[in-house]
Amino acid sequence: MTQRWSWPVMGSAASLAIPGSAGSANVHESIERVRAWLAEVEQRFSPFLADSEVCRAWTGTLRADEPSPLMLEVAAAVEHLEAMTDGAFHPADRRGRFDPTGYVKGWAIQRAVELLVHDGIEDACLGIGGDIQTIGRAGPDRTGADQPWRIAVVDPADARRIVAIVAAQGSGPLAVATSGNAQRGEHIWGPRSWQQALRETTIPEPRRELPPAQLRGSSCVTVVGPELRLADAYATAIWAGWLAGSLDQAWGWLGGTGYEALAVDGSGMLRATSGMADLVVRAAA
Amino acid sequence: MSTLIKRAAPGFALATVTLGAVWMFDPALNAQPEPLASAGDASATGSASASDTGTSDTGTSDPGASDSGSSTAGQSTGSDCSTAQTATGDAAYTQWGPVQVEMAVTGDGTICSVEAIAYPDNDTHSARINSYAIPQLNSMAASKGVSFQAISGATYTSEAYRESMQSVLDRL
Repeated sequence: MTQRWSWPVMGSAASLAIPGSAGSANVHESIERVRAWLAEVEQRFSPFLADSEVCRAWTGTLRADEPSPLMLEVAAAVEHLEAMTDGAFHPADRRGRFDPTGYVKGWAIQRAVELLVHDGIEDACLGIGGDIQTIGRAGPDRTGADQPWRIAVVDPADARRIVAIVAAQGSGPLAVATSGNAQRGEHIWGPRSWQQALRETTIPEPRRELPPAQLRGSSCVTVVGPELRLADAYATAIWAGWLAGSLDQAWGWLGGTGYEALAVDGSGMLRATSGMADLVVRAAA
Repeated sequence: MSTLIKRAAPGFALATVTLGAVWMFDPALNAQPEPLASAGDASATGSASASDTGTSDTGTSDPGASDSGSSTAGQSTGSDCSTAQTATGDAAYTQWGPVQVEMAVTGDGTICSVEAIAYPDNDTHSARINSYAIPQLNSMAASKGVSFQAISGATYTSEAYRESMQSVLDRL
Protein backbone atom coordinates (compact mmCIF):
# COMPACT_ATOMS: atom_id res chain seq x y z
CA MET A 1 0.00 0.00 0.00
CA THR A 2 1.39 3.32 -1.03
CA GLN A 3 1.30 6.14 1.45
CA ARG A 4 1.05 9.67 0.20
CA TRP A 5 1.69 13.06 1.68
CA SER A 6 1.09 16.53 0.32
CA TRP A 7 1.91 19.91 1.77
CA PRO A 8 2.45 23.47 0.54
CA VAL A 9 6.00 24.59 -0.12
CA MET A 10 7.84 26.92 -2.52
CA GLY A 11 4.64 28.53 -3.68
CA SER A 12 3.35 25.17 -4.86
CA ALA A 13 2.53 21.80 -3.38
CA ALA A 14 4.82 18.90 -2.64
CA SER A 15 3.50 15.44 -3.43
CA LEU A 16 5.31 12.50 -1.92
CA ALA A 17 4.44 8.85 -2.44
CA ILE A 18 6.17 5.95 -0.72
CA PRO A 19 5.01 2.43 -1.58
CA GLY A 20 5.03 -0.26 1.02
CA SER A 21 5.67 2.16 3.82
CA ALA A 22 2.56 1.52 5.86
CA GLY A 23 4.34 -0.76 8.30
CA SER A 24 7.51 1.26 8.55
CA ALA A 25 8.03 2.84 11.94
CA ASN A 26 10.56 5.46 10.98
CA VAL A 27 8.91 6.73 7.82
CA HIS A 28 7.23 9.63 9.55
CA GLU A 29 10.50 10.82 11.00
CA SER A 30 11.94 10.68 7.50
CA ILE A 31 9.05 12.69 6.14
CA GLU A 32 9.61 15.31 8.80
CA ARG A 33 13.25 15.55 7.77
CA VAL A 34 12.20 16.03 4.17
CA ARG A 35 9.73 18.73 5.09
CA ALA A 36 12.28 20.52 7.24
CA TRP A 37 14.86 20.33 4.46
CA LEU A 38 12.54 21.79 1.85
CA ALA A 39 11.44 24.53 4.22
CA GLU A 40 15.07 25.38 4.91
CA VAL A 41 15.82 25.58 1.20
CA GLU A 42 12.88 27.86 0.61
CA GLN A 43 13.89 30.10 3.49
CA ARG A 44 17.46 30.29 2.31
CA PHE A 45 17.03 30.59 -1.45
CA SER A 46 13.68 32.23 -2.07
CA PRO A 47 13.95 35.49 -4.01
CA PHE A 48 10.59 36.41 -2.56
CA LEU A 49 11.49 36.32 1.13
CA ALA A 50 13.28 39.49 2.17
CA ASP A 51 15.33 37.73 4.82
CA SER A 52 16.43 34.82 2.65
CA GLU A 53 20.13 34.45 2.13
CA VAL A 54 19.67 35.21 -1.56
CA CYS A 55 17.89 38.48 -0.83
CA ARG A 56 20.41 39.42 1.82
CA ALA A 57 23.16 38.77 -0.65
CA TRP A 58 21.51 41.35 -2.90
CA THR A 59 21.45 43.95 -0.17
CA GLY A 60 24.93 43.20 1.12
CA THR A 61 23.66 42.12 4.50
CA LEU A 62 24.98 38.59 4.67
CA ARG A 63 25.81 37.37 8.13
CA ALA A 64 29.29 36.54 9.35
CA ASP A 65 28.92 32.84 8.60
CA GLU A 66 27.60 33.45 5.12
CA PRO A 67 27.62 32.67 2.28
CA SER A 68 26.64 29.36 3.74
CA PRO A 69 28.08 26.05 2.58
CA LEU A 70 24.77 25.30 0.87
CA MET A 71 24.87 28.62 -0.97
CA LEU A 72 28.41 27.98 -2.09
CA GLU A 73 27.48 24.51 -3.26
CA VAL A 74 24.63 25.93 -5.31
CA ALA A 75 26.79 28.71 -6.69
CA ALA A 76 29.41 26.23 -7.84
CA ALA A 77 26.78 24.06 -9.49
CA VAL A 78 25.10 26.89 -11.38
CA GLU A 79 28.44 28.23 -12.57
CA HIS A 80 29.23 24.83 -13.98
CA LEU A 81 25.82 24.61 -15.64
CA GLU A 82 26.15 28.06 -17.15
CA ALA A 83 29.46 27.10 -18.71
CA MET A 84 28.17 23.75 -19.89
CA THR A 85 25.14 25.26 -21.60
CA ASP A 86 27.04 28.16 -23.17
CA GLY A 87 25.16 30.60 -21.02
CA ALA A 88 21.67 29.36 -21.80
CA PHE A 89 21.34 28.55 -18.15
CA HIS A 90 21.94 31.92 -16.55
CA PRO A 91 21.41 32.21 -12.80
CA ALA A 92 20.53 35.87 -12.63
CA ASP A 93 17.31 37.79 -12.44
CA ARG A 94 16.10 40.59 -14.65
CA ARG A 95 18.32 43.04 -12.84
CA GLY A 96 21.38 40.89 -13.10
CA ARG A 97 21.35 39.79 -9.48
CA PHE A 98 22.39 36.26 -8.55
CA ASP A 99 19.28 34.14 -8.55
CA PRO A 100 19.76 30.36 -8.60
CA THR A 101 16.03 29.59 -8.57
CA GLY A 102 16.32 27.63 -11.82
CA TYR A 103 18.54 25.11 -10.11
CA VAL A 104 17.46 25.14 -6.51
CA LYS A 105 14.07 23.49 -6.74
CA GLY A 106 15.24 20.43 -8.65
CA TRP A 107 18.30 20.15 -6.47
CA ALA A 108 16.23 20.41 -3.30
CA ILE A 109 13.80 17.74 -4.45
CA GLN A 110 16.59 15.37 -5.44
CA ARG A 111 18.34 15.95 -2.11
CA ALA A 112 15.09 15.26 -0.29
CA VAL A 113 14.78 11.91 -2.03
CA GLU A 114 18.38 11.19 -1.13
CA LEU A 115 17.48 11.85 2.49
CA LEU A 116 14.80 9.18 2.21
CA VAL A 117 17.25 6.74 0.66
CA HIS A 118 19.68 7.44 3.46
CA ASP A 119 16.95 6.46 5.89
CA GLY A 120 16.55 3.12 4.15
CA ILE A 121 13.53 4.02 2.04
CA GLU A 122 14.12 2.38 -1.32
CA ASP A 123 11.04 3.50 -3.23
CA ALA A 124 9.72 7.04 -3.39
CA CYS A 125 8.33 9.69 -5.71
CA LEU A 126 8.56 13.36 -4.79
CA GLY A 127 7.32 16.22 -6.92
CA ILE A 128 6.90 19.93 -6.44
CA GLY A 129 5.23 22.04 -9.07
CA GLY A 130 5.59 19.41 -11.75
CA ASP A 131 9.28 18.66 -11.22
CA ILE A 132 9.60 15.09 -10.07
CA GLN A 133 12.25 12.72 -8.74
CA THR A 134 11.63 9.04 -8.21
CA ILE A 135 13.70 6.20 -6.85
CA GLY A 136 12.99 2.50 -6.87
CA ARG A 137 9.64 1.13 -7.90
CA ALA A 138 6.02 2.18 -7.63
CA GLY A 139 4.97 -1.11 -6.09
CA PRO A 140 2.52 -3.79 -7.18
CA ASP A 141 -0.62 -3.00 -9.13
CA ARG A 142 -3.83 -4.80 -8.38
CA THR A 143 -2.68 -7.89 -10.25
CA GLY A 144 0.36 -8.03 -8.02
CA ALA A 145 2.81 -7.12 -10.78
CA ASP A 146 5.54 -4.78 -9.67
CA GLN A 147 5.24 -1.49 -11.51
CA PRO A 148 7.75 1.19 -12.42
CA TRP A 149 7.12 4.80 -11.55
CA ARG A 150 5.31 6.49 -14.40
CA ILE A 151 5.09 10.23 -14.90
CA ALA A 152 2.60 11.91 -17.20
CA VAL A 153 3.78 14.93 -19.17
CA VAL A 154 0.93 17.26 -19.98
CA ASP A 155 0.42 19.50 -22.97
CA PRO A 156 1.67 23.01 -22.28
CA ALA A 157 -1.35 24.43 -24.05
CA ASP A 158 -3.82 22.35 -22.16
CA ALA A 159 -2.96 20.43 -19.05
CA ARG A 160 -5.91 18.14 -19.55
CA ARG A 161 -4.08 16.42 -22.36
CA ILE A 162 -1.24 14.05 -21.74
CA VAL A 163 1.41 14.11 -24.42
CA ALA A 164 3.53 11.32 -23.00
CA ILE A 165 3.96 9.04 -20.05
CA VAL A 166 7.54 8.22 -19.19
CA ALA A 167 8.51 5.25 -17.08
CA ALA A 168 11.46 4.60 -14.83
CA GLN A 169 13.77 1.89 -16.09
CA GLY A 170 14.41 -0.87 -13.62
CA SER A 171 14.61 0.48 -10.12
CA GLY A 172 16.97 3.33 -10.85
CA PRO A 173 16.20 6.98 -10.31
CA LEU A 174 13.95 8.88 -12.71
CA ALA A 175 13.78 12.64 -12.87
CA VAL A 176 11.29 14.56 -14.97
CA ALA A 177 11.41 18.34 -15.24
CA THR A 178 9.45 20.64 -17.49
CA SER A 179 10.11 24.25 -18.38
CA GLY A 180 7.62 26.18 -20.39
CA ASN A 181 6.59 29.57 -21.52
CA ALA A 182 4.87 32.16 -19.53
CA GLN A 183 6.99 35.18 -18.91
CA ARG A 184 8.06 35.48 -22.49
CA GLY A 185 4.68 36.36 -23.86
CA GLU A 186 3.41 38.31 -20.96
CA HIS A 187 4.03 41.81 -22.18
CA ILE A 188 2.78 40.86 -25.57
CA TRP A 189 -0.49 39.74 -24.22
CA GLY A 190 -1.30 43.10 -22.79
CA PRO A 191 -0.97 45.06 -19.63
CA ARG A 192 -2.88 42.72 -17.37
CA SER A 193 -0.66 41.85 -14.47
CA TRP A 194 -1.01 38.99 -12.09
CA GLN A 195 -1.87 41.38 -9.28
CA GLN A 196 -4.46 43.08 -11.41
CA ALA A 197 -5.88 39.75 -12.39
CA LEU A 198 -6.22 38.74 -8.79
CA ARG A 199 -8.37 41.80 -8.16
CA GLU A 200 -10.56 41.28 -11.16
CA THR A 201 -13.97 39.91 -10.48
CA THR A 202 -14.95 39.46 -14.09
CA ILE A 203 -13.02 38.12 -17.02
CA PRO A 204 -12.27 41.00 -19.38
CA GLU A 205 -13.12 41.08 -23.05
CA PRO A 206 -10.92 38.83 -25.13
CA ARG A 207 -7.88 40.72 -26.22
CA ARG A 208 -7.70 41.25 -29.93
CA GLU A 209 -3.99 41.64 -30.35
CA LEU A 210 -2.03 38.50 -30.90
CA PRO A 211 1.65 37.93 -30.38
CA PRO A 212 3.91 37.35 -33.38
CA ALA A 213 3.43 33.94 -34.93
CA GLN A 214 6.62 32.44 -33.58
CA LEU A 215 5.59 33.31 -30.06
CA ARG A 216 1.99 32.33 -30.43
CA GLY A 217 0.92 29.34 -28.46
CA SER A 218 2.72 27.64 -25.70
CA SER A 219 5.85 25.62 -25.73
CA CYS A 220 7.59 23.47 -23.23
CA VAL A 221 10.63 21.31 -22.84
CA THR A 222 10.62 18.23 -20.66
CA VAL A 223 13.91 16.65 -19.72
CA VAL A 224 14.15 13.11 -18.38
CA GLY A 225 17.15 11.53 -16.74
CA PRO A 226 18.47 10.23 -13.45
CA GLU A 227 19.05 13.44 -11.49
CA LEU A 228 16.45 16.16 -11.07
CA ARG A 229 18.95 18.88 -10.27
CA LEU A 230 20.33 18.44 -13.78
CA ALA A 231 17.06 17.65 -15.54
CA ASP A 232 15.54 20.81 -14.14
CA ALA A 233 18.46 22.99 -15.14
CA TYR A 234 18.73 21.35 -18.57
CA ALA A 235 15.03 21.91 -19.24
CA THR A 236 15.42 25.56 -18.35
CA ALA A 237 18.50 25.92 -20.51
CA ILE A 238 17.01 24.17 -23.52
CA TRP A 239 13.83 26.14 -23.38
CA ALA A 240 15.69 29.42 -23.06
CA GLY A 241 17.99 28.46 -25.91
CA TRP A 242 15.02 27.45 -28.02
CA LEU A 243 13.42 30.84 -27.56
CA ALA A 244 16.62 32.45 -28.66
CA GLY A 245 17.23 30.19 -31.65
CA SER A 246 16.56 26.71 -32.97
CA LEU A 247 15.63 23.69 -30.93
CA ASP A 248 18.36 21.64 -32.60
CA GLN A 249 20.92 24.06 -31.31
CA ALA A 250 19.22 24.42 -27.98
CA TRP A 251 19.42 20.74 -27.16
CA GLY A 252 22.36 19.78 -29.31
CA TRP A 253 24.65 19.51 -26.32
CA LEU A 254 22.35 17.03 -24.59
CA GLY A 255 23.69 14.03 -26.52
CA GLY A 256 25.87 11.82 -24.39
CA THR A 257 24.73 13.30 -21.11
CA GLY A 258 22.33 10.46 -20.38
CA TYR A 259 19.39 12.85 -20.49
CA GLU A 260 16.62 12.93 -23.06
CA ALA A 261 14.20 15.68 -23.94
CA LEU A 262 10.87 16.20 -25.59
CA ALA A 263 9.50 19.51 -26.72
CA VAL A 264 6.12 20.84 -27.74
CA ASP A 265 6.19 23.99 -29.83
CA GLY A 266 3.66 26.75 -30.19
CA SER A 267 1.80 24.96 -32.98
CA GLY A 268 1.50 21.77 -30.99
CA MET A 269 4.23 19.86 -32.77
CA LEU A 270 6.01 17.40 -30.55
CA ARG A 271 9.65 16.53 -30.99
CA ALA A 272 11.96 14.39 -28.97
CA THR A 273 15.58 13.40 -28.77
CA SER A 274 16.43 9.99 -30.14
CA GLY A 275 16.61 8.14 -26.86
CA MET A 276 13.28 9.36 -25.57
CA ALA A 277 11.33 6.57 -27.24
CA ASP A 278 12.83 4.05 -24.85
CA LEU A 279 11.48 5.94 -21.88
CA VAL A 280 7.95 6.49 -23.11
CA VAL A 281 5.14 4.14 -22.26
CA ARG A 282 3.37 3.01 -25.39
CA ALA A 283 -0.29 2.29 -25.40
CA ALA A 284 -1.17 -1.36 -25.42
CA ALA A 285 -2.06 -2.50 -28.92
CA MET B 1 16.98 35.25 -18.85
CA SER B 2 16.81 31.57 -18.10
CA THR B 3 16.34 32.24 -14.44
CA LEU B 4 13.45 34.52 -15.15
CA ILE B 5 11.96 31.84 -17.27
CA LYS B 6 12.44 29.25 -14.62
CA ARG B 7 10.83 31.47 -12.09
CA ALA B 8 7.80 31.49 -14.26
CA ALA B 9 7.63 27.75 -14.12
CA PRO B 10 5.19 26.08 -11.78
CA GLY B 11 5.64 27.21 -8.26
CA PHE B 12 6.97 30.64 -9.04
CA ALA B 13 4.37 31.50 -11.51
CA LEU B 14 3.60 34.39 -13.67
CA ALA B 15 2.07 33.10 -16.76
CA THR B 16 0.58 33.90 -20.06
CA VAL B 17 -2.32 32.52 -21.92
CA THR B 18 -1.62 29.92 -24.54
CA LEU B 19 -3.17 28.61 -27.70
CA GLY B 20 -4.20 25.10 -28.45
CA ALA B 21 -1.84 22.34 -29.26
CA VAL B 22 -3.54 19.51 -31.03
CA TRP B 23 -1.04 16.77 -31.41
CA MET B 24 -1.40 13.40 -29.88
CA PHE B 25 1.80 11.82 -28.74
CA ASP B 26 1.04 8.23 -29.31
CA PRO B 27 0.18 7.04 -32.80
CA ALA B 28 -2.20 4.48 -31.35
CA LEU B 29 -4.28 7.30 -30.05
CA ASN B 30 -4.93 8.54 -33.54
CA ALA B 31 -7.74 6.10 -33.73
CA GLN B 32 -9.51 8.34 -31.30
CA PRO B 33 -11.64 11.15 -32.65
CA GLU B 34 -9.57 14.06 -33.73
CA PRO B 35 -9.69 17.04 -31.50
CA LEU B 36 -11.35 20.07 -32.95
CA ALA B 37 -8.67 22.33 -34.27
CA SER B 38 -9.86 25.87 -34.13
CA ALA B 39 -9.74 27.97 -37.23
CA GLY B 40 -6.47 29.79 -37.49
CA ASP B 41 -4.72 27.45 -35.17
CA ALA B 42 -1.79 26.06 -37.05
CA SER B 43 -1.90 22.74 -35.33
CA ALA B 44 -0.46 19.53 -36.52
CA THR B 45 -3.05 16.92 -35.89
CA GLY B 46 -3.10 13.22 -35.58
CA SER B 47 -0.28 11.41 -37.21
CA ALA B 48 1.32 14.33 -38.96
CA SER B 49 5.03 13.78 -39.13
CA ALA B 50 7.30 16.00 -37.23
CA SER B 51 8.86 18.48 -39.58
CA ASP B 52 12.39 18.11 -38.42
CA THR B 53 14.65 15.48 -39.80
CA GLY B 54 17.34 15.57 -37.22
CA THR B 55 16.35 14.40 -33.83
CA SER B 56 12.74 13.45 -34.04
CA ASP B 57 12.24 9.85 -33.22
CA THR B 58 9.88 7.12 -34.07
CA GLY B 59 8.12 7.38 -30.82
CA THR B 60 6.68 10.69 -31.80
CA SER B 61 5.86 10.61 -35.41
CA ASP B 62 5.69 7.32 -37.23
CA PRO B 63 2.07 6.98 -38.21
CA GLY B 64 2.39 3.41 -39.37
CA ALA B 65 3.81 1.89 -36.25
CA SER B 66 0.95 2.27 -33.92
CA ASP B 67 0.84 -1.30 -32.81
CA SER B 68 4.43 -2.30 -33.14
CA GLY B 69 5.99 0.09 -30.74
CA SER B 70 9.72 -0.07 -30.57
CA SER B 71 9.74 1.15 -27.04
CA THR B 72 10.63 -1.22 -24.31
CA ALA B 73 9.12 0.91 -21.61
CA GLY B 74 6.46 -0.64 -19.48
CA GLN B 75 3.36 -1.67 -21.27
CA SER B 76 0.13 -1.06 -19.57
CA THR B 77 -1.39 -4.01 -17.93
CA GLY B 78 -4.70 -2.27 -18.06
CA SER B 79 -6.93 -1.78 -15.13
CA ASP B 80 -10.55 -2.39 -14.40
CA CYS B 81 -12.39 0.89 -14.56
CA SER B 82 -15.51 -0.68 -13.12
CA THR B 83 -13.78 -0.47 -9.76
CA ALA B 84 -12.85 3.18 -10.19
CA GLN B 85 -13.90 5.66 -7.60
CA THR B 86 -14.78 9.23 -8.39
CA ALA B 87 -12.99 11.94 -6.51
CA THR B 88 -12.99 15.71 -6.75
CA GLY B 89 -9.64 17.44 -6.79
CA ASP B 90 -8.74 20.56 -4.91
CA ALA B 91 -9.51 23.81 -6.65
CA ALA B 92 -6.38 25.46 -8.01
CA TYR B 93 -6.36 29.06 -9.05
CA THR B 94 -5.18 30.76 -12.19
CA GLN B 95 -5.51 34.36 -13.18
CA TRP B 96 -8.40 33.33 -15.37
CA GLY B 97 -10.29 31.58 -12.66
CA PRO B 98 -10.33 28.39 -10.64
CA VAL B 99 -9.53 24.98 -12.06
CA GLN B 100 -10.95 21.90 -10.47
CA VAL B 101 -11.18 18.36 -11.76
CA GLU B 102 -13.31 15.37 -11.03
CA MET B 103 -11.58 12.10 -11.74
CA ALA B 104 -12.52 8.45 -11.70
CA VAL B 105 -9.43 6.63 -10.54
CA THR B 106 -8.73 3.02 -9.71
CA GLY B 107 -6.81 2.06 -6.64
CA ASP B 108 -3.54 1.78 -8.53
CA GLY B 109 -3.80 5.25 -10.00
CA THR B 110 -5.24 4.47 -13.41
CA ILE B 111 -7.29 7.41 -14.55
CA CYS B 112 -10.51 6.20 -16.12
CA SER B 113 -12.00 9.60 -16.69
CA VAL B 114 -11.22 13.17 -15.88
CA GLU B 115 -13.55 16.09 -16.13
CA ALA B 116 -13.00 19.72 -15.36
CA ILE B 117 -15.86 20.76 -13.15
CA ALA B 118 -14.41 24.25 -12.98
CA TYR B 119 -12.33 25.74 -15.71
CA PRO B 120 -12.06 29.28 -17.03
CA ASP B 121 -14.15 29.47 -20.15
CA ASN B 122 -14.82 33.11 -20.75
CA ASP B 123 -11.80 34.07 -22.75
CA THR B 124 -10.64 33.01 -26.15
CA HIS B 125 -7.99 30.61 -25.07
CA SER B 126 -10.01 28.75 -22.53
CA ALA B 127 -13.07 28.51 -24.70
CA ARG B 128 -10.93 26.97 -27.37
CA ILE B 129 -9.32 24.32 -25.26
CA ASN B 130 -12.56 23.46 -23.59
CA SER B 131 -14.00 22.63 -26.95
CA TYR B 132 -11.91 19.55 -27.47
CA ALA B 133 -9.85 18.66 -24.51
CA ILE B 134 -12.16 16.90 -22.15
CA PRO B 135 -13.59 14.27 -24.53
CA GLN B 136 -10.12 13.68 -25.87
CA LEU B 137 -8.59 13.08 -22.52
CA ASN B 138 -11.50 10.99 -21.40
CA SER B 139 -11.15 8.64 -24.34
CA MET B 140 -7.40 8.56 -24.10
CA ALA B 141 -7.26 7.77 -20.43
CA ALA B 142 -9.89 5.11 -20.63
CA SER B 143 -8.48 3.42 -23.69
CA LYS B 144 -4.93 3.42 -22.54
CA GLY B 145 -5.56 2.38 -18.99
CA VAL B 146 -2.07 3.50 -18.13
CA SER B 147 -1.60 4.46 -14.54
CA PHE B 148 0.77 7.14 -13.42
CA GLN B 149 1.70 8.62 -10.11
CA ALA B 150 2.68 12.17 -10.89
CA ILE B 151 2.33 14.86 -13.51
CA SER B 152 4.89 17.16 -15.07
CA GLY B 153 3.97 20.23 -17.06
CA ALA B 154 4.49 23.88 -17.66
CA THR B 155 2.53 27.10 -17.88
CA TYR B 156 0.21 28.43 -15.32
CA THR B 157 -3.02 26.91 -16.51
CA SER B 158 -1.28 23.58 -16.70
CA GLU B 159 0.00 24.04 -13.23
CA ALA B 160 -3.47 24.58 -11.85
CA TYR B 161 -4.87 21.60 -13.67
CA ARG B 162 -1.92 19.48 -12.70
CA GLU B 163 -2.32 20.54 -9.12
CA SER B 164 -5.95 19.57 -9.02
CA MET B 165 -5.28 16.21 -10.70
CA GLN B 166 -2.35 15.52 -8.45
CA SER B 167 -4.47 16.19 -5.40
CA VAL B 168 -6.69 13.30 -6.44
CA LEU B 169 -3.72 11.00 -7.04
CA ASP B 170 -2.38 11.98 -3.65
CA ARG B 171 -5.53 10.72 -1.98
CA LEU B 172 -5.36 7.21 -3.38
